[in-house]
Amino acid sequence: MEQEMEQLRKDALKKQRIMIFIPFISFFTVALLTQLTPILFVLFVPIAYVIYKVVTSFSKANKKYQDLYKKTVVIETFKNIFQDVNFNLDQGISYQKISETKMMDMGDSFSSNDYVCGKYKDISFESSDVEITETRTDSDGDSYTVTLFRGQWYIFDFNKSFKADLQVCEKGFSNSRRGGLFSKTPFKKVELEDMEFNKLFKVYAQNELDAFYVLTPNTMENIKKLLSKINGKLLLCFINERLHIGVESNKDFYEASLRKKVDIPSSIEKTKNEISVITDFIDILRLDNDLFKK
Amino acid sequence: MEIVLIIVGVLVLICVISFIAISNGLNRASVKVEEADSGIDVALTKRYDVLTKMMDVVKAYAKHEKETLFEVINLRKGMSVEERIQENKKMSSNFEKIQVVAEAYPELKSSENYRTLQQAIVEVEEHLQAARRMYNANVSKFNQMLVTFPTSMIANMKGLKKKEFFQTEEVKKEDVKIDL
Repeated sequence: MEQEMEQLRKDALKKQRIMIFIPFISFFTVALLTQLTPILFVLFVPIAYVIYKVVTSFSKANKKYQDLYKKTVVIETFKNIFQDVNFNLDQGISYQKISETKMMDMGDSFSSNDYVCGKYKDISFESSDVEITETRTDSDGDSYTVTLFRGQWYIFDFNKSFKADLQVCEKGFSNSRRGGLFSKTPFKKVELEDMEFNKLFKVYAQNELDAFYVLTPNTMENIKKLLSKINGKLLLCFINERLHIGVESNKDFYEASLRKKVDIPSSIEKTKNEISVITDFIDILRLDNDLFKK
Repeated sequence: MEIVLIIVGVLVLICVISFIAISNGLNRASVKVEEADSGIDVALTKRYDVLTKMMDVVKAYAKHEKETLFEVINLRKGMSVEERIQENKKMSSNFEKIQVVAEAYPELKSSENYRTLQQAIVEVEEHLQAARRMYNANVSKFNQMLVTFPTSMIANMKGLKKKEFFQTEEVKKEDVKIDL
């Protein structure tokens, strides 16, 4: 299996190099020739076609390698740690589920993949990579793309019953939807008694009492602990008796590097490290404590 | 001369607007304390209701036990913070007695009814703590306003006084821990 993966990696890497090399040389050559004979400008058309084919060929080779890597390393590692694991490489958590948290603007382009669901300590979870972008236009009329969120989204069963929605957003997250003097959102800013927590997070709730009910002193301490273990901005939303957690890590999880030679044991370690985010959420936030669940 | 009048006028306007803004801020803070205060009333009533049901269940099992001599709790409207703290202490004392009796009667402890009520009391305790924390957070904010200049000046003019915190036993400040 390792040999087969290595072969696929080499193939994808070769195609990646071609993908970088061919357009550079072709455009440079045609640009030079066009200077001598402008009619040679037409050569751009077949070159564009060749580039399209090269890019497509690389995408296919890379997907083949990534899929085999995920099936061999990632899914197996998940199955060793969690119960009832289900993996779907091409799908992710739906737009609607993330949108209904109202944590952020959803931009005009949404993509999500590497969906995984399962159970840990009898707590159901689901997660996927998520990317939300928006195309904007500057004052000169040129359009550009802004990434509003790129990272991982997790949904867990929550161990307390509450009526109103609650949002906890780490300060510095640029796409926070709340705020504004004339904001008509049903969410109100809540100041908790933990000054350190208030400095790190913005808390918005539809009902102030629910914020105090969900965010007990222990839970606030545990969220601060989580923060120190996570690379990226942390968002938490308590909605419909479930806990949504977004981590703006600016990278995809469970991806294999094309530049590194295939080494299954070290890949398993890397995956375990990425997976530990899920177990940390459940362990540190003590989501398996069903003391409050009816 | 006109410029001086304009400057004085602008300064007076700024003073009036500031007075109104600060006064409204104090009113809002005071209203939030009152809202939080009613949250404590609701939570105390819920605690009382669940405890009463538990006491009835316990009395049915242990008719001749001394521990069943529960303290009389008197919740009524318009109680002061201190009075509510006292009634809350009585409820805690009664709850401790219930647990002592339950220890002596394993069949009571394992009964479905008792377990359901214990689950309910855990939730009620947690709601009471949330209400207490919210009340104290709002009281703290209000009290800070009363001692911060220039809010303190306007608070004095309005005759506002510091509000009392809802203090509970140290053990209650932790998350609820009850053996089920």
